[in-house]
Amino acid sequence: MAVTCTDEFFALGKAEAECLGMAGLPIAVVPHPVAKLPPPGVSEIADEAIDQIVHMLEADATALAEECRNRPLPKRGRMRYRSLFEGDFNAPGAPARISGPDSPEALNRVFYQRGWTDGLPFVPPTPDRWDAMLDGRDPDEEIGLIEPRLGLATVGKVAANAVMAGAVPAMMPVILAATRAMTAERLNLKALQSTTHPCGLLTVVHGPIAEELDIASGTNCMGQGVHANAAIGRAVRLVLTNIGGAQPGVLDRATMGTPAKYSYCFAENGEANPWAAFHTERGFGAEQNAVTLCGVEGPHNVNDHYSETAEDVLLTICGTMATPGCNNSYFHGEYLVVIGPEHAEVIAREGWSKEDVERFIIERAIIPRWHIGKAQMALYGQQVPERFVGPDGRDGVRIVSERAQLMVMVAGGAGRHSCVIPSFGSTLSVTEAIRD
Amino acid sequence: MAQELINPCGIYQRNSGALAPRRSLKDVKTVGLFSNLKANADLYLEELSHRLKARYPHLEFELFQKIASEPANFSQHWLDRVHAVAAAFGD
Repeated sequence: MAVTCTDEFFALGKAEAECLGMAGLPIAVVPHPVAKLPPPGVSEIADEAIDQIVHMLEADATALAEECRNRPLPKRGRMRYRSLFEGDFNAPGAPARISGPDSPEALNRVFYQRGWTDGLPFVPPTPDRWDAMLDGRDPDEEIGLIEPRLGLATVGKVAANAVMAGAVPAMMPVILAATRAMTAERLNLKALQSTTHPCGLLTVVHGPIAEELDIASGTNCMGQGVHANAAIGRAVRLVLTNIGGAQPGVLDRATMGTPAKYSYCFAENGEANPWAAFHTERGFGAEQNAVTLCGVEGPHNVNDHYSETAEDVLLTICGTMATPGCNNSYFHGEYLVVIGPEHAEVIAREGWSKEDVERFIIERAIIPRWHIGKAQMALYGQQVPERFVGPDGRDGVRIVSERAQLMVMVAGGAGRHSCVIPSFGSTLSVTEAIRD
Repeated sequence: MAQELINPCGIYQRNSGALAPRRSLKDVKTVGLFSNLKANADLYLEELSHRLKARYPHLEFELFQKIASEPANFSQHWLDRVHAVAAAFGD
């Protein structure tokens, strides 16, 4: 095989190949971006690449692998690249304990330079704090491999990152459950971690543990200021970075990223929820504790202070959901709708069930045809023709076409707001039991 | 002064895959074209196939497409047919 890759994505291609044990994968590098070139430009790129491609398809495999393994970054590339496996800290046989400077400033600098932080100061993972976080658990217990670097998540590694995030031991069951959920194939974590799309990994907590840990489910539950939300969400991010290897610029290739990548965790608002808790739809009992992990964008607000009927509130929600720029418009993954308590009350007082809500959204969340350009329409025709409204989509394109593509939850506090949260699209959320 | 800390990095299991043996394109019958369906990927591969065909007129080409972000679900038919692959990756 000979792969062609633009210089901007060479580092990602090389790193992914390395993760899969193919550090010598031949990659022909061409100037970025190919996607926006007119046909003559693409022809020029092919002229530039053809000799490389022929060489990569014909050369002696051993010599070619060696040549490609040692290939430096092309000059046009803006990304730094160093082998993900050159360090002494994540290779087989790496020390379980390391030494770092006593000074908080110096230690923060060292960890930051190694790419082990989110850019903010952290709590040093000292043996004492780590032992307390483990709370008697076996640190060597294996949880699974975390994409894309395929680092092995053990209970001990998760505990170290939980310490760094500022979590307390009582939060470990939630963080461990979220880590187990990361290993589910349906989540498509490899793509979530390395995509140009701005998706974070949202952890939604269900069951009595949310109240026990004081995880915010009401006012400002997706915002700042509550320790449990902040620390659990941050621990999940550090696991993704330090075990999964999603360091920005190399394996994490987000075009802009999102603040949701710092920390993204809230709990369902059980008290204000007129319907059954979300995790009961996935086979859990209401009194069982669980987390749902979703690869999603940050929340998009739905402001509706005036609607007094279920239909009117939901129309505002539908209109906010149905936009051509979100990945859900052409993928079959889920779209998360978080209904605020005051909107939920308006909807439920008319006797609408959650199923009614979902059916209404499927029917009425339609991207207007005049908002869809030619290329996007062609994409929809290829990917989601079943969502067309009217002949050839003349009247628009539905944002979802079945209930399985929707998740509806209730959270938030007082005020006439809900939010809609598009997902990465090619991902399905995972609900995982929280164990002791 | 130094302090002892727990290493937070996940340890990877380094695999060591080898490249498949290469053949001269004179001896190859079919080249697979693997497109990630990003804009211009198909066009680029088509242009590439024209250039390969100009150098090796006997070559045939078989396109396989997958949408970016989704794992490739290769068909056995495609895998059985092709003897070399040119792939498009990234944007």
